[in-house]
Amino acid sequence: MIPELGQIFLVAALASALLQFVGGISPLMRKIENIEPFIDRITMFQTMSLLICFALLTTSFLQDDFSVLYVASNSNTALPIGYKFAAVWGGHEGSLLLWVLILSIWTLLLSKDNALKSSPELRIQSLSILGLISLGFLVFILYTSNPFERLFPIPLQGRGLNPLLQDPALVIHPPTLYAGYVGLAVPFSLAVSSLLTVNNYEWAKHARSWTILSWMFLTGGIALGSWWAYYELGWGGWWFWDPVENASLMPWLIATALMHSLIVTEKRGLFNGFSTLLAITAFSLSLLGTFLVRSGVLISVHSFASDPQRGLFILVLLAFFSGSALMIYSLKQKKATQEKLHPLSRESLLLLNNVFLCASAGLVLIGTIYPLILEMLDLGKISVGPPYFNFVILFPFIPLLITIGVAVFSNWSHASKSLVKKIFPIIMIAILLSLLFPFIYGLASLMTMVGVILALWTILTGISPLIRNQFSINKSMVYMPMMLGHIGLGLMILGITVTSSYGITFDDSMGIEQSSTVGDYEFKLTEIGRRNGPNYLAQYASIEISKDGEYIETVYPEKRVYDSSTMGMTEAGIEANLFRDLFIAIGEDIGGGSWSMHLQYKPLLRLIWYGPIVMMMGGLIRVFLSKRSIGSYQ
Amino acid sequence: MIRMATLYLFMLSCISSISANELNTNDQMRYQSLIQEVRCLVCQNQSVAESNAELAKDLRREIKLQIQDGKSDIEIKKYLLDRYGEFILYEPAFTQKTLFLWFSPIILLLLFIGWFRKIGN
Amino acid sequence: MTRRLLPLIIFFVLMGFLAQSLFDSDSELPSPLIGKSIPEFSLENLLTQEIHSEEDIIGEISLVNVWATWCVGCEIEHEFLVELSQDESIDLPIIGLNWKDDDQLAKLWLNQLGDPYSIVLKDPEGKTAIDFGVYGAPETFLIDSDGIIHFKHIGPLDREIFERDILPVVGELN
Repeated sequence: MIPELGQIFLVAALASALLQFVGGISPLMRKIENIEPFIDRITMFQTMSLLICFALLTTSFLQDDFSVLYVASNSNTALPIGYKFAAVWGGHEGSLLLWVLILSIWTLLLSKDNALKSSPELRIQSLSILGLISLGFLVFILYTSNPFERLFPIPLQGRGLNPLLQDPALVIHPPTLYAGYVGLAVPFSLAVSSLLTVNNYEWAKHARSWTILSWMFLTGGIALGSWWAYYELGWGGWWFWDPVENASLMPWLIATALMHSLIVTEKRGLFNGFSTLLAITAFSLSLLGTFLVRSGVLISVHSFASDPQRGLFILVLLAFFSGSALMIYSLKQKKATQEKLHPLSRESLLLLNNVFLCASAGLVLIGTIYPLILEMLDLGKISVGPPYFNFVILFPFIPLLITIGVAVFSNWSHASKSLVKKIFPIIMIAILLSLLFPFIYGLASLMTMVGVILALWTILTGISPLIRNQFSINKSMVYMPMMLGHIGLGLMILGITVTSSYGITFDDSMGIEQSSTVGDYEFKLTEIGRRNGPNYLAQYASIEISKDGEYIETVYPEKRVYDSSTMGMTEAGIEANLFRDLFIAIGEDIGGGSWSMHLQYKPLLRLIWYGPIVMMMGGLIRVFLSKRSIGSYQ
Repeated sequence: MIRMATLYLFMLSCISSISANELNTNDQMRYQSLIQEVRCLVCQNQSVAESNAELAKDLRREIKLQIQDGKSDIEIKKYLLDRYGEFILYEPAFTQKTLFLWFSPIILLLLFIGWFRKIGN
Repeated sequence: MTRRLLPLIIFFVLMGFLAQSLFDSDSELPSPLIGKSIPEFSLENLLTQEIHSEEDIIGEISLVNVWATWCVGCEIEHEFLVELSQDESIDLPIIGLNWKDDDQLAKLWLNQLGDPYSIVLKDPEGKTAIDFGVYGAPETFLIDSDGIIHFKHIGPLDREIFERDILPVVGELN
C-alpha cells in the first residue's frame, strides 16, 4: 500500500513539475492573469509531494518492508535504526529521489525570494527552467530508477547496507553534497532565464546569494567526504583524486569562480558573458558528476551499481540541459562593451583568479577522462592517479594563491597606488613566519617552504582588513566574508602542506606489551580481544599512546566482519588534537602473537577540514549581510 | 557461530609471514611511497597500500622484498610493468600518447591567460 | 560568434566521448606478456611433490590454467576443462597452476570434480602467478611449443569462448 502511494505522489510531483515548466515557458504564458501565484502554488505542491514520497520510502525502510526491491537491496532487520534512515539514500534510486527533493526545496526557496519578485519575467522563467530540470529527473526516476518497485517473492531478509556506509557520516555527507550540487541549478536557471528574457546583467545580483549558499554546501560536503574517507577507509588517506571525488571538486572550483565573477558583474556590470558561462558550466559539471557516478564508465569506490542504460539517460539529460543552455548562450549573449581595464585593478585580478580556477577544473577534467579517451582510441589502458594530479595541480594553484593575496589590496578600475608598499611587509612576515616550520618540524624541501609561505600569505592578506581597521570587528564586518573565506583557504593549504611534508607512516610488527616509536610518540600494544557489535564481529587491539614517556590516550583500532558481507573492514584508532593526528590501523596477524600495525603521525591534519569550515562561515556571513543589505563591498 | 568462523577465516587470510618492520627508515619511506603508487587490480580504484585484497597483500610483500634486495624504485616499477602493463601504475608514463596529458597544465595556462589578455583589453 | 560557439563545440565533443565509452566498456586488462615466453619458475607438483621448472612444460602447444578452490569462477569452468581434456579430437594438454591454495582442499577438489590437468603445479605464495601477470582467477594462457604466450583469457572458460578465441590461434600455430 505504502509503495503504491509513493508511486502516486511521484506522478503528482511529475505533473506539477510539468505545469511549473509550462507555466513560465513563454511570454504568452507569462501574460496569463494570476500565473505567478499559480506557479508559486505548484512549486509548493511539488515540494510537498516529494516530501511525502520521501517519508513513505523512509517508512518502508523502518518497517523492514522487503517487498520493496530498493529496501531489500539496501537494508536488513539487523541494521541499526539510524542507518535505516540513512540507507534511504544509500543506493541509486533513493539518492535520486533525494536529488529531486532537494531541487524542489531550492526551487521553493527561490520562489520565496522577495528581491527576485521585482523582476517577474526573470523570476517566472527561472522557476520554469527549474521545473523542466525537475521534470527530466522525475521521468528518469519513474522510467528507470523507481525506488518503489516491488519485489516478488518477498525475501525474508534484506541484503543489508554496505558496511562502508554504516557510519554517522552517511547521515550528513550525501545530503550536504547534494544540496551543493543541486543548488547550482539556481544560478544556472537565473543565467539562462536572463538570456531568454531581459538579457542584461540584473540576474547577477539575484544569483549571488544562491551561488554562495550552494557553494557553502558543496564545500561542506566535500570536506565531510574527505574526513569520512580518512577515518573510515583505514589507511589514513583523505583525498585520492578518485573520479567521483573529482566530480565534486570540479563544480566546486567553478562555483568559486562564479561566486567571484558575480561580484564584478553585479557591481560593475562587467564579465556578464563570463559569469553566464560559469553559471552554465557549474551546473553542467554537477550533472556530469551525476553521470560519472552512476554510469559505470569510470571505476570508483564511490560508484553506485553501474548501468549503461541509466548512464545513457543521464547523458541525454546532460546533453539536453547543458547543450541548450550553451546554444542559447551562443545565440543570445551580447558582445561585451570593451572597457579598458588596468591589469592590476580588482576586476582584472578577480578575472585572473577565475582563469586559474578554471584551468584547475580543466586539468582535473582532463586527468579524469584521459584513460577513457585512450581506451576508446584503442591505445590501451592507463591509470591516472594521485602522482599525476598532485603534480599538475600546482601549476594553476601556485599563481592562484599569489594573485588572491594581491587582489585583496586592489581597487576597482584602477591600480592601487601603493600596492607594492602594502604587499611587501606581508610577504616579509610570511617568509619570516614560515621559517618557524622547519624549526618546529624539521628540515624542509623547497616545495614545502613554497606551500607554507603561500598559505601564510593567503592567511595574512586575509586578515589584513582587520588590521587596517585597527582590529575593529564592526568596521571590518563588511570584509568578513572575504577574510574568513581566504583565511579558511590558507589554513587548508597549510594543513595539506605540513601533513604531506612532515607526516610519517610506519608499518611495524608488535607483540603484546611491545612498543613502537613514530617521531616523538610511543605506541604500546597492550591487548588483543574480540567483541560483538550490533551486526558485526570485531577483533580489536588496545594501544596505549605516550609522548616522551607521558601517557596520552588509549585507542582501539578494530577489524570487523559484518553479518551481511564477507568484506572485512578496518576501523582505525585515532587520537587527535588541533596540532596532530595519530592514526593506528591493525594490519596482519603475523603469527607468534605478533601483529603488524600501520602507524601514522600526521601534523596539522585537522586544518584540512577546519579550513573549509572557516570558509563556509565566511559564506554564511555574506548571505546574512546581504539579507541585512548592509551594502555590498564584495 | 558462523560469524566466528567467518571472522576466523578472515583473520587466517591475513596471515603473512613477513612484516614491514624489517625495513630501515629510508626503505620504509620508499616502501610507503611505492605502495601508494601501485594500483590494486582487483579493487575499485584503490592503491595496494589501502587494499585488503589478497593480490594487494602479495604485491606489497613483493615490493618490500625487492626493496630489501636492493632494487631501485625504477627497477621495481619495471618489474610490475612487465607483468601487468601500464594500468598498474598510478603515475602515467611520459610517452607519445600521454604527451597531451602531461603538457596540459602549460597548454591550459597559456590558453586561458591568452584569453584573459584579450578580454582585459 | 565563433568564440561563443567554442564552449558548445567542446561540450558536444565531450558528450560524444562519454556516450561512446558507455558502450565500449571492456574491463579486462591487456597482458603485456603476449608474444613473450613464460616466466621462469621452480614449483612443486601438487600430487607428486616433484619440483618442476618452466622447461618441463615447454614442448607442445598447451594451455596453462590458473585456478584455486576458493575461486567461484574456477568451479564454473571446471566441467568444461574436464570435457576438453577428454576430447580426443583436440590434443591440447592443460597445465594447472594452483594459486594460493591449500593442498588438501585442492586434491579433494580434483578428486571430486575431476582432474583435467596433465600436471598441477602449486604456487602457494603467489609469486609465480605475479610473474604471469595474474590478478584474478581463473586465467588461462595459450602457449606454443617454444613456451611463448600467444593468448590470455581472463574469467571462466567455456566452449564458446574456446572455439571463438583459442582454437583459431591453435590452428595458426600448427
